[in-house]
Amino acid sequence: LARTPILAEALDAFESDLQIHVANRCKDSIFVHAGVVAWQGRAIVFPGLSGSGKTSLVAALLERGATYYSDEYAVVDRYGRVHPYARPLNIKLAKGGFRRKYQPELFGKQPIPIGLVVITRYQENGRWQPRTVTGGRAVLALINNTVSIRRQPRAALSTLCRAIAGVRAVESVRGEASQIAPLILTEME
Amino acid sequence: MIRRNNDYKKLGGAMLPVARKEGLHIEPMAGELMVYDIARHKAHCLSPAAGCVWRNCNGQKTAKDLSDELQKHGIGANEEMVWMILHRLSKLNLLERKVTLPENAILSTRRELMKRVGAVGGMFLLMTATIAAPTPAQARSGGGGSYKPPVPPRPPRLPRLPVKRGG
Repeated sequence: LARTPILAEALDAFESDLQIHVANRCKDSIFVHAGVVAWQGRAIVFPGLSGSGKTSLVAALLERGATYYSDEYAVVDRYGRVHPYARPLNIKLAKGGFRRKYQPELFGKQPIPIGLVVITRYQENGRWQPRTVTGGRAVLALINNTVSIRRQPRAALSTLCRAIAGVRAVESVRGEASQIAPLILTEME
Repeated sequence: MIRRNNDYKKLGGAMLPVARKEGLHIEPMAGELMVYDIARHKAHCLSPAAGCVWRNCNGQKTAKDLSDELQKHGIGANEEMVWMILHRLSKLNLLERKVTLPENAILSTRRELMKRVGAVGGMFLLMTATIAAPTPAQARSGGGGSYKPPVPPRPPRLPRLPVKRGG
């Protein structure tokens, strides 16, 4: 998994691999690489791979009063509801490395339906100009970040279609997370 | 220009497309059709028009019949647009056999086609989008990332007709 003299790095690699293993083998739920917060009882899901700025967006939304579900995986059950994946926020530091922020009081506790899918990535000076995309496009964006899609394509596709049915999805590049967080919340109203 | 042969049935089976059913998982999604190719690990999102054409590819219907089906569903696409969709479906390996386009299948220029497509409700009606499904490692590291905003189908290239020189 990793070759390093630093124990913390080795443990991080082990943890990451363990998470992928669980995400790939889980039979009851589909794990989508995404940031998730809850707002007014519904989940805002922004699928994205490492480096797309999920964590900073989650942190900005939490500052606006959203409830924390995950900065790593949207765990979607067979009914299309999202479960909390309560791991501490891993905030990247400018000098390198991570700072782990434990705020258990912010963690969501109940599975909730999806209310909004935001397909976005950070771009320097990126301008937030959301355009509504179809449910099919939203499902494709989720599939693109689904860990077990090759292992269980039928279950994953059925679950994601069920979860996205009737849900609004928007797509845009974005600039700083703190600036667009309130705009994302208004999309839910 | 004049269409030289509109009776595609006489041209053989290649003109009567058959939708592939084996090795696919299909989910309807609010008018669109999600298709997962289990062998190739590709996910497709077929627009309402592309989905309608694909579902009606039963080896019995010509492009004209398929355009009539679209009309029944309120999509005013003509035969040319049906050929564009068939060409795209064929490229995505969603048809049993490759579609052979008749020489005169697409006569309009790209600009003319765009105008007509706009008139029937926009390119989104004809579009398909496809991604390659990521492996678990790609889903973690960012190596997947093949999702791109969908692009409109391009009219297929057809052989140039001989130009008569004056003399």
